[in-house]
Amino acid sequence: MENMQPSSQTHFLDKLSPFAKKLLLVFAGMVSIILFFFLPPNQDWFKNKILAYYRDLRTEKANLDLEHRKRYRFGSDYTYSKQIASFFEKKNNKTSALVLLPSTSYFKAYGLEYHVPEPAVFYYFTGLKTLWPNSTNAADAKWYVHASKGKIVVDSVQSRNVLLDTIAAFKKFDISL
Amino acid sequence: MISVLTILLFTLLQLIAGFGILTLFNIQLKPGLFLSLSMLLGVAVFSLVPFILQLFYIPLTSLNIFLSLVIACITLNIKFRNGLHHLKIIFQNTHFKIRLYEIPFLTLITIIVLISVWRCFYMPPTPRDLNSGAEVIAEYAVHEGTMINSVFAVNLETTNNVFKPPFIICLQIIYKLAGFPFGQLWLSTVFISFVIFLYHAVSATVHRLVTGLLIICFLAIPEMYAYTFMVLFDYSNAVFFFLSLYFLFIFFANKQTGYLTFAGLLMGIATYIRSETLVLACLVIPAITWNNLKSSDGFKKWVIICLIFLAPTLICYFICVPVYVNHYLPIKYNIQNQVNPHLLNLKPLLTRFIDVNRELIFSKDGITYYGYFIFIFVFALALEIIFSRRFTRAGKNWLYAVLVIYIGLPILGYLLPLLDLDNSTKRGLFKVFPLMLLYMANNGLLIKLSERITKWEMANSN
Repeated sequence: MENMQPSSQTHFLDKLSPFAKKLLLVFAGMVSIILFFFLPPNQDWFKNKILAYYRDLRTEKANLDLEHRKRYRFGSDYTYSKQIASFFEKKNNKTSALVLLPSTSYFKAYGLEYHVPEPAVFYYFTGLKTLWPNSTNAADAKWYVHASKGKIVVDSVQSRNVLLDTIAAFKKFDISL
Repeated sequence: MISVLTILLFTLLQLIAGFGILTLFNIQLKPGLFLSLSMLLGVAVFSLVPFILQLFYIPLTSLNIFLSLVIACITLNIKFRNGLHHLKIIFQNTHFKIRLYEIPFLTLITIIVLISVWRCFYMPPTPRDLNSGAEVIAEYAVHEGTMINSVFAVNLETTNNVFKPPFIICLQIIYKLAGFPFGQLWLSTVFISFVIFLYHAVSATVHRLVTGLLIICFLAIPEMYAYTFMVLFDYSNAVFFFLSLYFLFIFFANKQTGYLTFAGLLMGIATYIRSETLVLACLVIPAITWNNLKSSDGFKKWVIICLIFLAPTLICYFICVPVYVNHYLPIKYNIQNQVNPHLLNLKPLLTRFIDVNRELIFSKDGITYYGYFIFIFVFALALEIIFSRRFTRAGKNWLYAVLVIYIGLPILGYLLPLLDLDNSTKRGLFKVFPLMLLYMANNGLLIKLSERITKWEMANSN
């Protein structure tokens, strides 16, 4: 009797028409997909990535402006960097200026959420050459950026001694990528 | 509209270039594999053209680049007639058919792929490793007509990304010159072609129901999916590394030199994308040796096979690193300094191996990065060991390939300490997933299950 059960079941499945078999396979496929995305990490990925990206897409397609897309993706890293570069653009010396930038932790200490891009990325964002306080040629800077009253300020280097003091002051803050 | 036309034109050129290469090596494949592989090879050809121009100091202008691309396509198609004849035959003998039960899987795959393509188009390049290296160089190369440009006048003490091989730089230059300010869309070509290739490669051995599920599992690897729209080296590297092994294993079966040379070429491309692939290529040699011993081909033939397989890799490494980095770039980069000076101390190797397992694979973070894919692989492997107690020949090959990455990544981290766990190794593991996928496609139990489903599906109902 025990052997009868599976054989009758097989018989039933074999009796199905080709189309019914295909429908059964469709059903099996859909069940396997549902089961797969029922697992928590897969479910999270589908909800937080695929569906979220799809929701984003609907608003993104209305905002195709390149600058908007950069600001949207890079956030304050980009907007603050562009603000600094615009100072030099107005002075028409963006390509020749060499600017000393303090670190992210410096700005944080002064209440500014500005993740300072490393010189290569800053150059990519703006076309302006920058230096970090721990750069070997930091003392070559002709300009420096600092925070004052919650704002980012650009100043020219008046003397080498002042610049060296500024570098020493900037170095007191943690410098990291 | 112009963008769409440009992409279509690029796709056509890439197809033609890839078609030419496949014809040159006399690679015979079914249409799905043939066309997707042609696209991938076309992307590789595109990535080489600006680099070759740069090596000869030819200005990287639109005219020079696009003319060179056309010339490359024509040159690679010297055996065009043979290729066309082969293409006619394979298309005559193939009937394109989507089965009803494939539709849910294909719909889901299409949605996942399209969302990636959109983000690839919409979002600017994001990874820091890209923006501080390949992307910034490409951006200024478009304006200055050379990859050796003003970026090298910037303070680069915080990055070594400018010294990486120019695969991405070249593709970014081409796509930016073609009117895509963020470039990147070549990655979607790689992604789509690779998914098509995998779908056909997997369905060659297992039922399409199983194929669909395996491909969904593969696509839903969160970290790997993210890099289908965030340009970096690792996804493309994984693709070409996989392809190289795919054709090497075909060579093991059919012994046709064209497949071996082609596998070597693909490994060379993988090395062009990430130079440390050289080490992984060397770890493939035991598989060649084992295959050679089984065939009793002798030592001389073993040497020749190894040379054919490794030569393109060595050439690509030599041109990209000692030649290009040391003799073209204006800033010196000492590669020897990057190598672990205490190679006799094996403790860091063991530590790295344990860390890879503890932090990246068998951990909560591992599941966040890679989902359950590794566990699905382990489950399939365990089932085969318990119930079948023997592997298929192809299964053994793919298992060895998995081992190459599993052992190879800790070795790389030990040789080059700069390849850290949280970034380089985490992304380096992308290489293992297509290999695991193909192992599962050659898992004896899954093949038997597939045969049963097919037999049942095809049986006449009376």
